[in-house]
Amino acid sequence: MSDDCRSTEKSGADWLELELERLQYRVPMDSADADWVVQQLTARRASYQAPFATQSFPIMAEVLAQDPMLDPNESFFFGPQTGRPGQGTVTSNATEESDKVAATGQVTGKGVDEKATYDANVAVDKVTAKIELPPGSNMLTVARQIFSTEQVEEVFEPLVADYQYEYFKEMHRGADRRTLAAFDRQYGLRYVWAIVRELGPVIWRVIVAIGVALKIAG
Amino acid sequence: MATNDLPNLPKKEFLIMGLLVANAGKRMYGLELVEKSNGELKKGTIYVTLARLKSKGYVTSEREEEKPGIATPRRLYKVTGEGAKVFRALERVGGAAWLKEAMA
Repeated sequence: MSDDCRSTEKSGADWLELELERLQYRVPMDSADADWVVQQLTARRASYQAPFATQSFPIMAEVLAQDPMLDPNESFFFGPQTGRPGQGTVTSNATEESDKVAATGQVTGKGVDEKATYDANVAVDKVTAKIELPPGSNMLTVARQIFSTEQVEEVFEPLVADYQYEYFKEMHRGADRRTLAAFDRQYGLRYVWAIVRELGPVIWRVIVAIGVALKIAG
Repeated sequence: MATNDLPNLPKKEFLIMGLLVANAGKRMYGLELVEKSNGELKKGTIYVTLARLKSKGYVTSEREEEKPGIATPRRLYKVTGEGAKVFRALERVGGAAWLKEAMA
């Protein structure tokens, strides 16, 4: 890791210690593993600052290999860093062997030759690391298929923006998965309700038209 | 403006206009409006209502500046001059349009 990465780690020392403690509580680790997790968390912390579009990367495979209880959905926390000197680039790959996973992770400090490579070599129950988009991305995709650009910009984009804003605010505070899942549910319902509200006048006009047609016919 | 000529402004729209007028000159996020409404406005419907107010020309909106780490920028809302006039006129006659009928 580069010096700059270490300084990022120092500035977020409390946060890192908390995360590390959480992981150690759940997964017994030797000191080498703990160092690796610190590197990963440093990169993860740095990745929060990167444009989110770049953060679709299945790096959690390594931690998942040690702790199958961790949510694969956390994979989107990780991603390549762009244009920020000293921040880490995180890459990983996971290979499958029957129903086991062996994961390899690599952390590289930008602008330096030094590389810290971690080979988990841990066989655990199969874990699928999947590429994740920011929360609400699918909501927007569906809304764009149904509604006009103006409706999407005025109703659905702000709703999804609030979803992401609140979600990441809680995530940065260290909210657990249950809290974050609650956001998923709440905003899912709000999204459906917004669709109903937007489609309401159309549905009403269709009902009135059918009513008029039936009256004329009958 | 005669009372009967006042435009229709449902309760929630009136409430939003009130919050925006009270913060005249300051652009507000949808979430801010929800928080300041003491539970009267809901996160799921605020943007539908704001979109209607915008189509009536009473509010304007714009995206916030794009920053690193933000996937979807939020929108900021501000009352227009016309919106402020309509709100004050309705306020003078006793509130929202749902009171207008009772007063007619």
